[in-house]
Amino acid sequence: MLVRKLFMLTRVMEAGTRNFFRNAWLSVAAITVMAVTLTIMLSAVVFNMALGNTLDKVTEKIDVAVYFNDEASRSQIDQFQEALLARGNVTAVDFISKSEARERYREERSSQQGEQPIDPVTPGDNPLPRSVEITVADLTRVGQISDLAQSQQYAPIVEETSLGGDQRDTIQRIATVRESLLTAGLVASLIFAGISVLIIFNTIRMAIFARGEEISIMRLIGATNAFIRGPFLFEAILDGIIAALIALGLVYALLFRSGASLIDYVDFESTVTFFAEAWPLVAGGTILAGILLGAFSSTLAMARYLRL
Amino acid sequence: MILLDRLGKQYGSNEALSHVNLHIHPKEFVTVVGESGAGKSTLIRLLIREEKPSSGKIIVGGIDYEGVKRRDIPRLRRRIGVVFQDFKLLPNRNVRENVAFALEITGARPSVIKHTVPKVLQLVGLAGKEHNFPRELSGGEQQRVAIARAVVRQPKILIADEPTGNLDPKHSWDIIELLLKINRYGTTVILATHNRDIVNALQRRVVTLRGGRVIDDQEQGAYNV
Repeated sequence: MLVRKLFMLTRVMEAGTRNFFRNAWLSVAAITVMAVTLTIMLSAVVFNMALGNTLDKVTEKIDVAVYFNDEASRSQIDQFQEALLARGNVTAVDFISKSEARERYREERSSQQGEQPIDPVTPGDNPLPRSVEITVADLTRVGQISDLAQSQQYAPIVEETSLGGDQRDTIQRIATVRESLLTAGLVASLIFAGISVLIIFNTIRMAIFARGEEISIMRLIGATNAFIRGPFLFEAILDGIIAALIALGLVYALLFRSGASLIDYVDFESTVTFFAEAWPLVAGGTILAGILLGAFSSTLAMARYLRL
Repeated sequence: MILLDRLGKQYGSNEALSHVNLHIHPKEFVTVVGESGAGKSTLIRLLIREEKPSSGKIIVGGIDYEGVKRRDIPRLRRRIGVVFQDFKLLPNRNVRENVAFALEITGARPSVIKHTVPKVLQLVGLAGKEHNFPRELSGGEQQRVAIARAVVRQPKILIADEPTGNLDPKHSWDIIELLLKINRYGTTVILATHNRDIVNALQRRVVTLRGGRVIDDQEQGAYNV
């Protein structure tokens, strides 16, 4: 029984391949538009990933901190810390005491100058303020921290607020670009997927009409529906696989040849590494997308025009 | 082998078949005669389950058609070989491939196909024409290909619907002789025709249809429409 099914499958695939070459020009059209669709989808993934990595890197470098004046009492600072943590966006708050601040300052100087730390700041008259270092989940919403610091309750104890300044604008810009690219990629993918479905639908429809006589003969001599439908399905799946390979070739070539130099500002390095290391996943996913696109369109065409 | 019990088929208000009772035994050779519109083609369409009857029963080889599900129809059709007036060969396949196709759809092993097809082509007298396409053959030869395709699965029943309708007398006789040969090997043959000479020369059972009813059923009958 299994052997029998295997023979049937082989024959269905042979017939599908024959049809594929018989409709060579229609196949080329279907493959082209599918390849464009899959390339757009993959590019959307690439850009989203690269911009995400860039965002992470810039975010790591940024300091969000609130400095207190010397009049602030410890309990006031504690209260402020609690108020910060109550905000959903704040994930951690570290208190830096005056002596810790001094310690850090000394270390920074020594590492910069490579000398034995001299002590410009003596413990007695340490001018460095106490502060809290804040880790946030979403840097685009750090505004709420300055709002809190400037509120009536806390303004008297706060000396200064550091929210990353220029870097914050950069982050905001990257996040915006990333979001709009993702939306554009998604919309373009959907539009081209729709066009692909239409073209494959028509390819299969024409194939069904061209072979109407053949199909009725097949039915009369006892071919199963699966045996009649199989070749059409396989033809569309073949289109999808070839289109996926073309899209993969294009995206990989672009990414590896010119990815790093494409845009200075964007970090393509981790994306290139990911695409190099996880290539089976990327290739598998793209091919699967191609197969699904082909199978869906041809199933639609058969449901409409190949009533058995 | 085949049992038809009060079989009826209506198309709208038109009664194509009504109250047809027929019992065909294994290895019989039966001719079904009648003018155009007498119901011959309807009867055949019902036998290969291209259509469902409006009333009555069809039992073929112990299988009651009433209980046959849609998905089992292909398997049912494979048990019956059918030959049509217009041959119905696949134009893009050569003689060997046309005959092999009937086996391919059943999932037969390639070795079986390779072994069986030449034998059947030999039987119908087409050895040497394996690689010709249907358009390169005469009508008589095309009908032989169709017969080869019908018998390659060794069906218990062979139904021939006006197989000589498109052929000249000489080729017609070749085809009838081939059907007789197949019948001698043990296959039940049902031949629908309105060719008087053939029916009278055959001297076999003749079932006569008129207006969708069986009006005559004779062993060793004659054409009497």
